[in-house]
Amino acid sequence: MTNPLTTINRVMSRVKRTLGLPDSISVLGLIRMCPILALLSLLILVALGVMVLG
Amino acid sequence: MEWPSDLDPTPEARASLTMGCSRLCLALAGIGITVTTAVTLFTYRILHEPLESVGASVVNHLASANCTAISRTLTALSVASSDVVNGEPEGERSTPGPHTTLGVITTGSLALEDFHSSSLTAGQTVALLRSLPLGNLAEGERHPIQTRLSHSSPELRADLRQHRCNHLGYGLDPSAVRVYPVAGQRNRLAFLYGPLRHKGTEKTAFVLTDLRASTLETSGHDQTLHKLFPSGGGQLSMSVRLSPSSALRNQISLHEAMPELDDEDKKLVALRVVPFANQLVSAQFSVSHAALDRIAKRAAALVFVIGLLATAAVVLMSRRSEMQLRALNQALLKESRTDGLTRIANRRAWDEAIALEESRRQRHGHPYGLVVVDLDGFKQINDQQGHQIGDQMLQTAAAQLAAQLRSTDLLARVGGDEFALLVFSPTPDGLEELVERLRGALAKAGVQASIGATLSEERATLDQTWAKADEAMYRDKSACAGRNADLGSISDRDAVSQATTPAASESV
Repeated sequence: MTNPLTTINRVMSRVKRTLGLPDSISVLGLIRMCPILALLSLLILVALGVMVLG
Repeated sequence: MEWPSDLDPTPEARASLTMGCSRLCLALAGIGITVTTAVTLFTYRILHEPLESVGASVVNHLASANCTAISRTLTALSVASSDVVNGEPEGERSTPGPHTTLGVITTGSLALEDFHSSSLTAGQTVALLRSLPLGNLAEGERHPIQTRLSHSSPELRADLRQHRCNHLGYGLDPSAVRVYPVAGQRNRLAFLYGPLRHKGTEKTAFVLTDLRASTLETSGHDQTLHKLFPSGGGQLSMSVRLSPSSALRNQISLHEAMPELDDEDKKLVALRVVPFANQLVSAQFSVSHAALDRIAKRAAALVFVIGLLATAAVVLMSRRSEMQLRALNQALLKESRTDGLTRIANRRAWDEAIALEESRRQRHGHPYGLVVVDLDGFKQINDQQGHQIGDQMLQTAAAQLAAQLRSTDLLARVGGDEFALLVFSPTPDGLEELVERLRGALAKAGVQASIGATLSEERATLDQTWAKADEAMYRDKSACAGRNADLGSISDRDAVSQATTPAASESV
């Protein structure tokens, strides 16, 4: 079974590549570069929380 | 250097390719979030109210549908009692539910004559029945419920007469049924009917059942309920309560016995409460509005997530295409200022750079050096040896010239076989030295060229500076031609010195 951390890293790398950003950029840098996508991600997380926790 | 520093994409310019969001991205995100929010609210609204309505309908239906669980119990009791009366069951006996046990027991010896159960053994059943007041089975006959109800008000009796549970048509009198809670068996009730005399023996029909379980798991309504409430009945609950049948004497005693019934329930007591010989059985259905609302909330959240994911995908695609467009524009910008053959700056880039440097000189007084290089005999080489050799000669010359420059200087191809060098803030000696280096490098590569150089002057215009450099170059060309005619009596180095020194000296 794949380690969850490895999966998260892989997904983050994929996102960075898709956005044309270097792989070494931090999460804060990612938020600074793409504020709209960061906002959308936050909203999605909130909605998922509502969906799961009711 | 192949590219002017002010045209080469800086790290900041490169970062601007990926940083921030354009107005298009902002607009798309705004539209997406707005539409998603609107659809989410609409979804919640169209789900919330119907679910509340459905919940209320289901509760009313269950509460008034003959008290479903009790009806099923009476049916089972009717089947069991037919064994006593007729010696054999009426019709086909259905398999009892997972929480139901039914049969016939001899009142005196407590022997099971007929027994059907999917959850209890015969021994367990006898033990449970033994804990009930079986010795007083005749109690029901001596005190029929009609006797007790005779003390109640006419309105209440009218209500009870309308109760469908009293007219179930199972061939038995519900008012002769006695109900007992089973000790140690939570939610389990014992329904007894009898004793009935048959062939000289007194027998009692019994049903042991859990009203809540049987209703929620086996009745026909349950399937509908499970479809309506897929989370497993968490939204729906049923409570069963026993009270002495004497509570039916009047509304006050009924209220004391069942204070949870509201005024509406008391008016419709016959629909909510089933009277038996010794007990009133109240089957109360309720629905959790919070649990129902959770369905609408989760559905709306799912719609919100899907909408946001779609918005994010659209924004991402828009952003990627925008980045590709920006990168393409930068590549086109660079290509439009590059000479295709020699890959150095072309005339357009040269004109922009020299104009910028001239304005900088006028403002700050920083001089610049202008060097013009013209390849000698290029046309003859092209005509005699072919254009491919000519192109190679141009590329060689460009490479040799570029190798001699600082990173701050600019080399451009400004004509067919003519190159120009912009040297930033040189000294006169440095300029002369540069010309010598250029000439040496070209000669070493087998390229003969005439070179003229000059320094910008304070009051000279750009055209005048350019003309002075051209003049120096043509002087060098003439000198070279003269020397060639005199069979090379003067060395190339001397000619360069004669050609460049006056121009450079003039500018100083």
